[in-house]
Amino acid sequence: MESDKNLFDDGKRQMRLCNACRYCEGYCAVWQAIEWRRDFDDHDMTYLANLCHDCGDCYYACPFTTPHQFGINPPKLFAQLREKTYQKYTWPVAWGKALGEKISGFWIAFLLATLLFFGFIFATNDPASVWQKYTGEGSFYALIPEYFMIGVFSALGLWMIGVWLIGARKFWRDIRSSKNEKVMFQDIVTATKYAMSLRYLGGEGEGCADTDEEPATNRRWLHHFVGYGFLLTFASTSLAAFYAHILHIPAPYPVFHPVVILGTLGGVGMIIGTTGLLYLKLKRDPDLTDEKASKSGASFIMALWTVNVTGMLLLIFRETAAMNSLLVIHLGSVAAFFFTAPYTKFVHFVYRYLALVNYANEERLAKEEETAPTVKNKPKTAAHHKAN
Amino acid sequence: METDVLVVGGGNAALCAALSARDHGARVLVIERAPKFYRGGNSRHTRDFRVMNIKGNDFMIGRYTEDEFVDDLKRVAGGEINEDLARLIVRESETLPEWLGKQGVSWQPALSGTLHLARTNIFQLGGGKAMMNAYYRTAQKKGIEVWYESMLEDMEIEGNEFKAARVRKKDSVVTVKAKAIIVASGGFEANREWHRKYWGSAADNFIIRGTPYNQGNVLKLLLDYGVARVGEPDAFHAVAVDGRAPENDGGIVTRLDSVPFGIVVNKDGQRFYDEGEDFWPKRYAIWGGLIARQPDQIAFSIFDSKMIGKFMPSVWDPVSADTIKGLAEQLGLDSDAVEKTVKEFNEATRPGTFNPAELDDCRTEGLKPPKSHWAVKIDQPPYYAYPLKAGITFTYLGVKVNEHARMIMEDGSLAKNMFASGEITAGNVLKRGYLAGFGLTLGATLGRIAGREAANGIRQESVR
Ligand SMILES: Cc1cc2nc3c(=O)[nH]c(=O)nc-3n(C[C@H](O)[C@H](O)[C@H](O)COP(=O)(O)OP(=O)(O)OC[C@H]3O[C@@H](n4cnc5c(N)ncnc54)[C@H](O)[C@@H]3O)c2cc1C
Ligand code: SF4
Ligand code: SF4
Repeated sequence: MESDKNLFDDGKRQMRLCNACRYCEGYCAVWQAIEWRRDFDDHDMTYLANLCHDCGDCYYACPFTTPHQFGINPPKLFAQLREKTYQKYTWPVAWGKALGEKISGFWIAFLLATLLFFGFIFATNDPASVWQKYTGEGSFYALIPEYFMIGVFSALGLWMIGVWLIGARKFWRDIRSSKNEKVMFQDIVTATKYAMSLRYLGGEGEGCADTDEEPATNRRWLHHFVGYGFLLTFASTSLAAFYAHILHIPAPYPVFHPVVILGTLGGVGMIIGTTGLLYLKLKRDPDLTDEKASKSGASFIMALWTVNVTGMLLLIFRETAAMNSLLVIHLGSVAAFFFTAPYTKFVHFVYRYLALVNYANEERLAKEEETAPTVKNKPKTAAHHKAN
Repeated sequence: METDVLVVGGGNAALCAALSARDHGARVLVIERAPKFYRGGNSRHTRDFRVMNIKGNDFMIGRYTEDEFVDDLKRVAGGEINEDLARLIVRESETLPEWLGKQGVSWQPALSGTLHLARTNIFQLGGGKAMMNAYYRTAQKKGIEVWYESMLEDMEIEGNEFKAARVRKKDSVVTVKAKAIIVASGGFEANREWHRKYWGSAADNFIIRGTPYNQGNVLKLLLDYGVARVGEPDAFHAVAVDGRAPENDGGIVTRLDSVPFGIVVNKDGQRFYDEGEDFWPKRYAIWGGLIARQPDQIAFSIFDSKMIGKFMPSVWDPVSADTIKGLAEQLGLDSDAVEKTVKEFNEATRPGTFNPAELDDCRTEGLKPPKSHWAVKIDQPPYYAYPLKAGITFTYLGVKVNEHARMIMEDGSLAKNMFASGEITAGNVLKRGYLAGFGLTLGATLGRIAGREAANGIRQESVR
């Protein structure tokens, strides 16, 4: 596509300029990766874009952003390129556009899934039973049998992971296409450490310059709320499965049960995190965002928010007659979330993690080269730094 | 409009002075000629401060003593420095990292690219614009008033006392009365008319590396009002930049580091200076001046494919061709002359071991001018060239100040309430010559002093 070519070419122009400058080298992994290169190809651009976590630091530090004629804007460039990654490496590609770009993809899936669950109930039960109050052991499965839920959500889970893996494979092949060096286990360990600590989500402790030139560490901890919140609810779900199928104690569980505690903590964490992130998105300087990328990011956060809010409502009102409807709505949102997950911003963690693995690999090789004795006659390239 | 301290300018020197005056209790107004986006003068293009360092800190490696710093200044200035003032600034520089840190500036740990300067210089995290953002943020928090697009046009000065300033603020003219004024409006790098006085029409071919707003009009006013002048008027610090650089504000990225890796010819295809005289970081500062003295103020750095990748990458692709003749034609040069120059150079090179990391033994013999190091035959096509122009960075003509940053009048008396800092005072220490990182250090140390002295002066006055 012509526009893609322009985007990649302009990206290469910007990277060359940055590489002649290097003022931002202290901010994040991207800048080290740039310094390890002289020329930039499409693969490099895709890699660098997914290494960027969109903090904005370099944009505010750059004297060459528009209106300067050099028109440098790494966060915007990388956001646009990431959007291309998400579209190009998903499967089927056409669905990426339909489901990932706008929040409406999620709303429609949500509506359809909810209707299907209601339809299932009406087809298998007396319609009036929806407004009946069920409590106690097994009440969640009163209208929708457990095997049905397990079947539906296993299928959706496999779908989500399957499409992620397809994308991961395509992406990895792309960014590694010109590399022969092996990735070692220690690279994966290093990358995992970077990822778990969100080490680069905010320059050298300055935090992300998110809303204006004012650096704020908000984004990092909000992201922690979402990320670890997600892990907690995941743990809660796994534990619930263990109770239900190994210990044969069916849901719902009492309020102080570990399943409920983990789920609640995770859910509340994600609600705080997603609300905060949405708020930051609203306040964010439009100069450094790509509108499309921003929309797809917002739609993912909105979807996550919806899942958690409906989950919380279910927890609060599970002893009332509204339980069945809330359960159906919550299940609908979860199903829609799983179904659209491979196409929304959710996939960012897949690509970003792989980019970090690639980075850890490059970093190790660069260090090895640095400490290796220099061969006489073959001095290392003068990685000179320009001082005034 | 009335304030205690009026600070003229919006760069490093100005903001250090403003923050210091505010910390000493004064009300402060900063007027910056540029719009907000371009605030910060040449300071927004900078990378590092040179600081004395004997206790060690987290961002530098090794030690840099007072004497060594002073000696470095003397060396670049050819011995002509004001040693008392130089020592004061060097000593004051020791506490800059901490003080500037308190004013919001973040530092970058020494990374591979900055290592060769990590002993003597400290680098801002993100560079000059990030630093300026930090200053302005802190200024706002501390209640300093800042006017953008506000230019000092004239002053009311009675004898040696400043009374008021006429400020063009966007489309209106405002009179600002202040109890003291600190002038930190930089040099006159961007004023071509002014350069023409010394350089004639050659000035039209100069590239201004920094802000177009440094026109030096305040400097001129002060000299006209009887403040004593210092510094060599026609001296400037200029480096070799890519000939395709924009006329103004191209900043750091237009600088080229290819010179030691080949030869440099002028428009007549002739070499004119030893390209391998010393390490590039010690020599880059003279090349702007060398080029400024060549016909049409242009030169061409020529090297072959052996050297690609040996110096910092540059923004634009070099011109390339498979033959020297083809290269010369593309550059619009007399190809016979260039071929002859390359041939003579190649024949004069002596065998040696090429090593850019040391002053190696690859040199020419019997060639004028010689190339003393890294002289390797230019014989491996494709051949490459960059056009080079003189990139003006820094000027030296300024106003005379004492160790309290107080201006000194032509008759030798001290100004009552007029202070200056930054590049407009550079000539007090160095008449000429340039030491990487000294421009910022001068502005920050003298700015801090100026702010304090101005604020304290006002307080003493009001007690009386
Ligand atoms: C590309 C480049 C890189 C450099 N790198 C370094 C470096 O790494 N380290 C270093 O020490 N030095 C460096 N220098 C030199 C350094 O930039 C200057 O020495 C230093 O910034 C001067 O600071 P200053 O505050 O005196 O002036 P400036 O930062 O230039 O500020 C002058 C200010 O005055 C304002 N002004 C001018 N006229 C008026 C008026 N009439 N009314 C109101 N305001 C006015 C301007 O708009 C500007 O804001 C570099 C220079 C360039 C060009
Ligand atoms: S300051 Fe601008 S040009 Fe320089 S590295 Fe940062 S983003 Fe790139
Ligand atoms: S926006 Fe932040 S994360 Fe992205 S390249 Fe710039 S500094 Fe790095």
